[in-house]
Amino acid sequence: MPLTLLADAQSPITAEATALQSAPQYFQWLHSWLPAPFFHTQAFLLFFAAVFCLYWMIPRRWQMTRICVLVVASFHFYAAWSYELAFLVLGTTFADYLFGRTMNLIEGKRWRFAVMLTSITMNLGILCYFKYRGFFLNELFDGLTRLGYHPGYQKLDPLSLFIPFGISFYTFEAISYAVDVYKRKIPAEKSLPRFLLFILFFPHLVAGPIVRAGDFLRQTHRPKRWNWLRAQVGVQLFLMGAFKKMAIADRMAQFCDPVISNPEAYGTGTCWLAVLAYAIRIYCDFSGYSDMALGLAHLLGYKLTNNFAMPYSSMNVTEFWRRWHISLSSWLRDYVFIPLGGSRGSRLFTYRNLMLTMILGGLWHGAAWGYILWGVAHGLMLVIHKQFKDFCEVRPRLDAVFSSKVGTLWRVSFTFFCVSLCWVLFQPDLSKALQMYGQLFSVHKGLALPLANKSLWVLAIFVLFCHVLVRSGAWAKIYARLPAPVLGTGYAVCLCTAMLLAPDAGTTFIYFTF
Amino acid sequence: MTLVGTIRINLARLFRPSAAGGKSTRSITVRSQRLPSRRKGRATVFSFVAALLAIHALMFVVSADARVRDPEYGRRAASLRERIAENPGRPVTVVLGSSRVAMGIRPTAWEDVRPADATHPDPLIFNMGLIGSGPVMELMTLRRLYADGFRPDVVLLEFWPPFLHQEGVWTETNRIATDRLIERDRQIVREYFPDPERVERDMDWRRRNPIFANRERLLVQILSRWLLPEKRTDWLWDDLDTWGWKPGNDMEHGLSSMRSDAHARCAEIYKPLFATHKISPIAEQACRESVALARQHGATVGFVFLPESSEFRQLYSPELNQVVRAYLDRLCSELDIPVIDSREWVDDGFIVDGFHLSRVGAAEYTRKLGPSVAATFPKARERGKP
Repeated sequence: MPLTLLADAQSPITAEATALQSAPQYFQWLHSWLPAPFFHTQAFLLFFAAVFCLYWMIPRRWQMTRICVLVVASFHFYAAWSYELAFLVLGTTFADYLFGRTMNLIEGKRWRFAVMLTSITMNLGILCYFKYRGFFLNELFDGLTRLGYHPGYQKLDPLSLFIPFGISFYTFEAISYAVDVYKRKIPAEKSLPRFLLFILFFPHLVAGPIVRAGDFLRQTHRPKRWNWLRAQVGVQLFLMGAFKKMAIADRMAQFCDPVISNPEAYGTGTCWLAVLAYAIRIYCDFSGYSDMALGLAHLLGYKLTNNFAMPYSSMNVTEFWRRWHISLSSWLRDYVFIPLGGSRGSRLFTYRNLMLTMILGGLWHGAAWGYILWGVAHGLMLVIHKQFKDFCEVRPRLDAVFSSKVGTLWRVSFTFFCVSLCWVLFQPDLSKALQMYGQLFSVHKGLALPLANKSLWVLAIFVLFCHVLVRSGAWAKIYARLPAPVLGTGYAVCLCTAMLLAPDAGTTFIYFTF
Repeated sequence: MTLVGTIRINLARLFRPSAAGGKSTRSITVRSQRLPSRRKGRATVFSFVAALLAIHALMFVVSADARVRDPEYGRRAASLRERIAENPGRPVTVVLGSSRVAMGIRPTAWEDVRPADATHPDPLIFNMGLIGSGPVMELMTLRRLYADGFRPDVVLLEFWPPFLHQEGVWTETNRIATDRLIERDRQIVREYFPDPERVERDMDWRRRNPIFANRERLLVQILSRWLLPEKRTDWLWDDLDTWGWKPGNDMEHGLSSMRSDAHARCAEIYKPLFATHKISPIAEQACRESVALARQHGATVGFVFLPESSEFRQLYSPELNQVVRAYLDRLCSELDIPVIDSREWVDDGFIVDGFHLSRVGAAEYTRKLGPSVAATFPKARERGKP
């Protein structure tokens, strides 16, 4: 029987289950308690309740003990899923700590650079080994075979590859730390527990947000005091995230998953509806997870970077990237785009940098052509937007048309349309994505959606309404005036509605695989 | 300000380009999280916990109600209460059984033709058939009825040989979804389920998590179209009439290609069953327990063998027919129970798939069943006098 309150926690990948069979007894027992690192499960809530009570029971002056409790809890959180990979993360984090300390000791820039490079190579090497090995070796295999050479190895089965949850997230955190220490933007952290907490802190460990050392480590130095306001924000964010995930994302998955996995069986209209459902699903799934992570961190007295800011209300793709996965886009800006030269050179030079950054962003999401092309598509859209912006700037009348209410509505709709179309590429199987485009742009008859379209529209309108409410500023006004009992009851109703609408078997978080 | 005016202003604010570009997003987020005081924060958290507990307590009570957890039973029970209240003095006859009963007994047809003699009140026949019900579910339903305060004068139990077989896929407890079980079914679970501990754990979990664990049961009654077709169970009760009858397939009397197709499909299922058919001691135990329970509460008990088409009857081997007949005779003589053997009462044309009556067939059959019930249980009629 699943020990669940909010969702059916089932470990999503069967390859992991076989690995667990050979795990020591303790970790098997741990796994039986916490089968998957999903926040919206009863098992996790029990785990969190235990950590929360223990953490706040420790006196404030024992800040280091509190940090150690969080580190141990975070390690167990990850080890419950895979103890081997938990030790790997622990090991690499310790190595990063040593690299940082070494860089702090070295005065010479060249040697510091060498240490930073070693740290980045180690982190990227591990990332490539786990995440990109299969893709590159299989592409090489296909290439050599096409040319008539025998590659001398067997093609790897992508399903048999064991990708650690959240590897891309903590790798980027470690890289940003190494770069910042190298550039002397921040001093290397002297305390090992604090540094371990920076990387391993369980609310952001498996799917972000990507935290910056400068932001996070500073917080670990401040003794935490219980704050009801913060607790309320934490509860609110967690509930909001749970609602997004359970009531919207998992429900949208019921619409889009069957269509995306077999687009040829469905009619054109159904495929368009599936695109809409997929766009909403991805947003609610990832932002739901981020909200929950932020909420949990708040409940422990930490503030993580806000990852989403109503991205589907963006008026252009550049704004979209300021509102979507903010921690990644700002990371790419600071550690890829700007070091590449940013927009300091010619127009072509800027476009090249944009394309390279977005391709890397696509590749970060997954080792598959679909993700790379998704990055390319977004890069192209950014380039086109920059061009068009320049074009409009010298044409005030055109600019005025686009700045009018109708023009703004058109821009928001068109941006959403383009972004949604690009989401089709956002899957490991490129052939399915191409099939989907084929279905979308040619009239076909086929199956209808497995569920009544009405429920899709109701949820889509609800998401739109929330966007309108927040962006218009109306929500902030209403929120400030709501009496506490109404707000508290609203939270409870929101949670109960999420529990009621949660589909039979909850799906895993999309971004866990990145 | 009018609603249109408000919307217009909000839309204008929404789509107005921000001077700060992307930076404006931060201010929105911060503003939405700003709260006036810490006291409000504490009051909100406590209100949340209190409201959550209150909703759970409410749902704890609501989801324990059979009408919510098992609407197929609960709606019939509510209708039965209303029919008894409308017809005081008439002897109440509840018929328990499977989909054959649910679709085959149409009490309104009997109500239309009954003599309505004041000196000899006609039996009030009520359909309590549940889809998939065999002897164990019949016992479960009977126990629920008594626990709900019903005191029927006559209890008619369906006798149908296929459901006396309780092995493999035909094990009746496999057909009983655990989410329809309520607290008072625990005894049935302990006595008849192969793995009672697991089922009871599941029941406990549903009790503790009244919303999440019973969400499909709840959602199917509120927003059934939001569920995947295979998850929808509302077809079990959505078209029940006020006498517990569930309309079957609307097939015109006579030959139909649909009928032969349906029969062929049923033959595929029942032929292998009849080849290995065995009467299970579990089924017999449940049957005997139902009889004892009804008698304990002062009811008269009878068996009813509902119509089967001639083609379906041919699926029984002569040996099986003999075994079944001998078993029924033995049971009836041991328990001193009458049987209404209506196996051949209606034409094949009224039977959709070999053993389910069509809507017209149900009316035709019930018009014959009413007088038979009155004649078979005369003492109950006497008892029922005002």
